[in-house]
Amino acid sequence: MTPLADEGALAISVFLVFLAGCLFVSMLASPDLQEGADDFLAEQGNRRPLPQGLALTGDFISAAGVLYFCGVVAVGSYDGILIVAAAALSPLLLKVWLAERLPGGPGWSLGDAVSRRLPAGPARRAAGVATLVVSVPLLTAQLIPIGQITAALMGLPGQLGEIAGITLVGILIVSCVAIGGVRGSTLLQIVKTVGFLLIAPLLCALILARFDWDYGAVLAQAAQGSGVGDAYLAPGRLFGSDFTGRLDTLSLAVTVLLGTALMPHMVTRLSTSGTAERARRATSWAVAAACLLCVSAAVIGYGIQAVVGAKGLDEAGPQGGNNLLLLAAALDGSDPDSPGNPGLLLTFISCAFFLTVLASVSVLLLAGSAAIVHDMGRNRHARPGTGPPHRPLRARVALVAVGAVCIALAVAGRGANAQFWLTLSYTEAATVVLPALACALTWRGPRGFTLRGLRWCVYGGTLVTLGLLALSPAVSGSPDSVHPDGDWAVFPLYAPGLLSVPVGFLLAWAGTRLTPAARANPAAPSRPQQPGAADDLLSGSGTHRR
Amino acid sequence: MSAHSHRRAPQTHANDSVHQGSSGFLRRDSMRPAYRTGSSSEALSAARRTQLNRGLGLVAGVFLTYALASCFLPGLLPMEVYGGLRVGELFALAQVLVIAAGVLTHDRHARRHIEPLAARVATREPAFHAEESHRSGTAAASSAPTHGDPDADEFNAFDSSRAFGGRRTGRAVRATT
Repeated sequence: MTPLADEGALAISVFLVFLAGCLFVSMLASPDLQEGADDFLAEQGNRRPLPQGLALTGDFISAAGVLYFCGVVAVGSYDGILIVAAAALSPLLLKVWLAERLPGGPGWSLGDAVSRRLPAGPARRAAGVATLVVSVPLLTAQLIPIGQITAALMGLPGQLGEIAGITLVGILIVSCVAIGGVRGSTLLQIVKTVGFLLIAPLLCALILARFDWDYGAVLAQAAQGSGVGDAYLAPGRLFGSDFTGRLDTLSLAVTVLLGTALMPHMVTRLSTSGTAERARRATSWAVAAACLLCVSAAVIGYGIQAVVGAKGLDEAGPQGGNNLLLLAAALDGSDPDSPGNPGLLLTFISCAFFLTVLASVSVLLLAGSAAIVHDMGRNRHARPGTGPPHRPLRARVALVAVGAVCIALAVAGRGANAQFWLTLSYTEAATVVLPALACALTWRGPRGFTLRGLRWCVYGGTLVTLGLLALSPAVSGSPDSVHPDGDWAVFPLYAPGLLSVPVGFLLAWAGTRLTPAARANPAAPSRPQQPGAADDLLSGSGTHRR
Repeated sequence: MSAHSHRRAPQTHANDSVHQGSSGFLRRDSMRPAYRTGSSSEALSAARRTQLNRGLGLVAGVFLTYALASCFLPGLLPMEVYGGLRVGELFALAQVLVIAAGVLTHDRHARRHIEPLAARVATREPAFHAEESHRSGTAAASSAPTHGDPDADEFNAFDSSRAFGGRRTGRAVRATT
């Protein structure tokens, strides 16, 4: 990390001013404690589609995700492009399958979206568990790199410095979110997305300009820099080109396709849209922005490999952990007029990275807090939309608790591959959130999705995911796993998505089919009295529902 | 009704008398057969199912093409096509175009078919919905939300009087009591 630590006092001061600015903005945006409007956890008002689409894109690009996609293209070439292409398709999947069905009344969490036709208490608790299992690893994955960057930027040495950096930045971010609530976080997401939409093409342009606008030269230099020559430009670089490796790549791509855009916080944001049309338009904007960013990520990934080379990437962590900053350092350092000046681009990117992490962590913390307070708390038995408003203090305390757990996990797991946390989060989302939500929203009728199906899907799917990952080479048995010394890896794939997603759907289906008929749809008796009750905004009359 | 339409009525057999008013709209020859039923709600669910199937097919098709080519036809992607460009990059660009086309088609299908059908279904029961809004308005005035209320609470996005009027604020007010 020495190239980063040389950047000097100006960079640190700019960074600190930036942090103070973020705190200030969050204080400005915080909801009034006395007003009683219930929007600490999720905004219930109507937003116009474009800002909501931008916020949705912001939800989709988490900071660790950006690093991961660039890194995976840098290391894995065509496999990486497959992964990034799957990530670009994921919002489209969300749009086509779920976006119109989600708005249907006030919603504060995944539990609200899932429990529309199921008994509210147990359904919400299951959804709350799913939200936490998805959000906590993703939070940890964000905190690790920003802690390391802060430690390097401020010159805090060694292991203790890393711990201090992570803790410091973690506390700062948690305070920003606890003060600002969802309004602050939505504002941050929009700013982050706009920033990305401006910076990413700019970085692409810088890279292309460095190679005289010849994309082929970028590829050739990347091939050369990777040390393997032309073999770099063939598929099979990510996990090897034997059958297991190819299956692994396919599995990771499936996981990314099904998991990246189906996170609980995105679901919550969509379910607070006013109308189906708004949700549709917002996701259209999100798909467009996500495509643009994924294309840029691919180009930037190749650029990193071309500019930094394989040795530098190896230092940055397995599969290119902190690659973006290496790129910035390299692009900066090559400028002839800045040997002694702190790199402006580097400072800028560090600040942008901090903002990104702040925005991503804020929505995740809010989702986790909503899961605890709204889904697993005292009022979980209320139907969605009824129930007393949330007390902001309780929500904040839950938020700080989730934040503390994540900081502890980040400190404990900082040596591990950050991609492990990401894989865990995406796999869990693809295995649990997608089947549960899709079944809950589309599988209607007298023999539709039941509570037992939801329970089997959530709890069983979580167990399957955690079990398969624990038995995979990502946790033990290879030099870049969580426990490099142990070797209990039985399951050969790094990303168990190919197996766990069908299992998730199977569990949901089996649980529903095996529900005893007498207990199926306990909310059913109330239906015949309201023949016009709509499930979602488009289903109109309920004549075909039962 | 005139004698002319009485004579015509037995020939249109897929029709029940309740829906005669709406059948004209749903019997346009330009619409797909699934929508040309007499019932707006069936047409609506058929339209939504079509849209869902098409959308999922698009996503699955695009993904599987690239994934299977990448995993099981390793020689295909690095083939050089034009200058520095390779098949892999062209695939990626083609995918972006297909995604754009998919988004536009989805939105257009929704605007053209689904929303009119949903609006018709919603306006078929205006009395019921009016009663709902009245009930939720009075519920907002009362202190405790009743549990019988929420299932009837589904508001309808296509009825603009309620989209901008009482129901939304009624719910927001209720959330703060």
